[in-house]
Amino acid sequence: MSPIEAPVRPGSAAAVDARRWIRRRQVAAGGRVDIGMVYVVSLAVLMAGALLGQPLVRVVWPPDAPSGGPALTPFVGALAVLAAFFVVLRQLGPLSVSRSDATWLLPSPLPRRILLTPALTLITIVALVVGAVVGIAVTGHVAARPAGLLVVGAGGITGAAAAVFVALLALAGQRQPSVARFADGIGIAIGAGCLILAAALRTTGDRRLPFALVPPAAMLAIGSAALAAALVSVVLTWRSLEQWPPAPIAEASINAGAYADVVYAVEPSYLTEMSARRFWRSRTRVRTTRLLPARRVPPLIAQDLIILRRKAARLWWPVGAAALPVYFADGPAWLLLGVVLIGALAAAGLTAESTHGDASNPALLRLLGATGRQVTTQRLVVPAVVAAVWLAVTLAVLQGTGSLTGPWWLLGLLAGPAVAVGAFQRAKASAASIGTILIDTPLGAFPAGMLLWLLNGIDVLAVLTLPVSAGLVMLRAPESLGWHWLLAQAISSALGYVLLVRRSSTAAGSL
Amino acid sequence: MTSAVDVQQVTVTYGSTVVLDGIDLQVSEGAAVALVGENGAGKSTLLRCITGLQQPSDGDISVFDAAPGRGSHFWQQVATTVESPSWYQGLTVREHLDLVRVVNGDDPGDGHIDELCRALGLTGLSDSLPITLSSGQRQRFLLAATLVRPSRLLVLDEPEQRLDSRIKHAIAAHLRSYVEAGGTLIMASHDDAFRVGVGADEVLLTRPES
Repeated sequence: MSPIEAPVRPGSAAAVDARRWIRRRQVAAGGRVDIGMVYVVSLAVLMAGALLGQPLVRVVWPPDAPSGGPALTPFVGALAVLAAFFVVLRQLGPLSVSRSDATWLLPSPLPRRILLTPALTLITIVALVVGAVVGIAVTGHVAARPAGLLVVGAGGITGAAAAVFVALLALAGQRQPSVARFADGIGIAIGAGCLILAAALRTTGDRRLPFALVPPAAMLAIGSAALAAALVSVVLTWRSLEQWPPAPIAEASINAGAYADVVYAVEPSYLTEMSARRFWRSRTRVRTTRLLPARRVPPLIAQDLIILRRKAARLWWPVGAAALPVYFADGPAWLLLGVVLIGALAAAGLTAESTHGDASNPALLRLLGATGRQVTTQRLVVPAVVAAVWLAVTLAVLQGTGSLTGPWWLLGLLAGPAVAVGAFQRAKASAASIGTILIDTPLGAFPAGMLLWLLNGIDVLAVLTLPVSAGLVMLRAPESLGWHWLLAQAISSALGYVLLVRRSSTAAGSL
Repeated sequence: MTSAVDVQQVTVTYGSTVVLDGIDLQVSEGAAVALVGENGAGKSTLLRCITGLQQPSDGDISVFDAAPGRGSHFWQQVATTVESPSWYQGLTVREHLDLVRVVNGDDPGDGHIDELCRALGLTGLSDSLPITLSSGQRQRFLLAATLVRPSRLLVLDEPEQRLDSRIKHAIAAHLRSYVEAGGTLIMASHDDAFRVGVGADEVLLTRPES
């Protein structure tokens, strides 16, 4: 008998066997689930529940019944949450497997359906839970009290059906990347549009629904039918998994693995880099501009302008976020301040990739032969203008809603350079580059890099935008903003700008 | 003739491994030198030391009578492919070349970029983003970015790597005319025909233990 067996075609049971075999090897190598880890995770969930449970329940189901008829805002809010859910699903894949499975099992002859069933089940369950919570929350904001089980059930089931359809849309997008880019844009636009609309409704007074609500029994019937149709579509998707091309699943698996790395290594700057890489890889039809050869603006400013132009599709978020502070206008001052400053920092960070890249690998700066000072001087300009415009619009909106009085929009314009300095400092560093100091905690050592990274740039921002901060805390309407506040902010911004440029290296290849 | 690069008794060790052992090298301005030798002979290490990107364990190096790698003045004179840059993600290949030329005070529309892109087979890739390039295309792109900028000294690490014979000829001719115009060239190379095409003198490096 020959010692070499003839190759045989693996049957469908081989997939289950393969996964079981791999699982057994993993258990043999690393042991079963660590009891300590189960304890830590359970404790974390229980603590989160204890701390956030009550406020969350109040948000989903307010104790008081809504006065008057059902309002428009809860529906707009639900649409925003579903749009955000779509965007998150698209960022995650949504269909992915572990990186090792993507490397070894995805290209193997094992049936793909068996390989991907756990992921598809998880997506469906998450969609059902998210949708049910959203549906119940909408019901909680529009239904009269006491609300019976029928009303709650109708809301929950309809919401679940909507979220499963959203998940199906995300799955369809993953399979056809050309359609997905368009769908991503729509998802982001709907999310940002809803935020603006909700802010406008808050300012101008909530509108009543232009139509009467469907009776709960009819809603339950419609919702159940929609949920049944959605679940049937999930099953059809499951049946078609065999025809899925492997590339989108492999890419999503690599991304999901990278997200896991971010959590494991506590290095959040990976996220920005990964997101940037995905964005630029997906950009097709880019055409070389004539802005650089025209030499009308300094070259590194021209570079930032080109990047900004190419990121136009992403400008929806800062535009939508400009409406966010309206929600916090009546809240505590520190919360409003945080939202305004972090929003401005994010807007100023739109063109920060180049600075981040130069800081981590200055080879290109050496090739350019440009000094750190030249680079800093030019790279601050576009972020300063973007942050100034964002702050001016945001503060003007707050002015328009009557929360602030005086020339606040001008204060916003003047604070732009100060925010750009903070964003520049932030872009220069990654958590790993800031520090690898380990802090001992009862649950093990924790790298301090992340904590420092989270604060990096914000410290500079807090100092340089002190006039804005102090003004937001001390000068709520009807107290008007005086001109001396503007002068203070102008000096602070100019000082920050000049100091950063002066402190930048005069050598090429370091910022 | 003035000295462009002066290497005296340079030693580089990695732990207990000696990579360069008391190397001397003088390159005059306007000369072309090719470091040759087997893998691990220290060619790239010596190039890194000459660009100041690596500190030798012992010995002295001066480039244009100054310590290498310091200040913008050095990098305005020296262009190198010893290190791989991480390209700006949102700029196209052509925009990178424009940027390199504009920042160095040259006119990107003077035909120099077009000529190099033709020679390196990059013309069809002008609108590509660097993230979409293959490793071979990136090698040509790096070479183009290094050659479009003005310099007095070129430090190239195996510039013939991954190039087809037509492009190799074009690059050799380009480097030869660079040297003829007064530029100085130091490169590491494994391709004798390419070295001869460039007209570079051979400097053999051997592994210290052999």
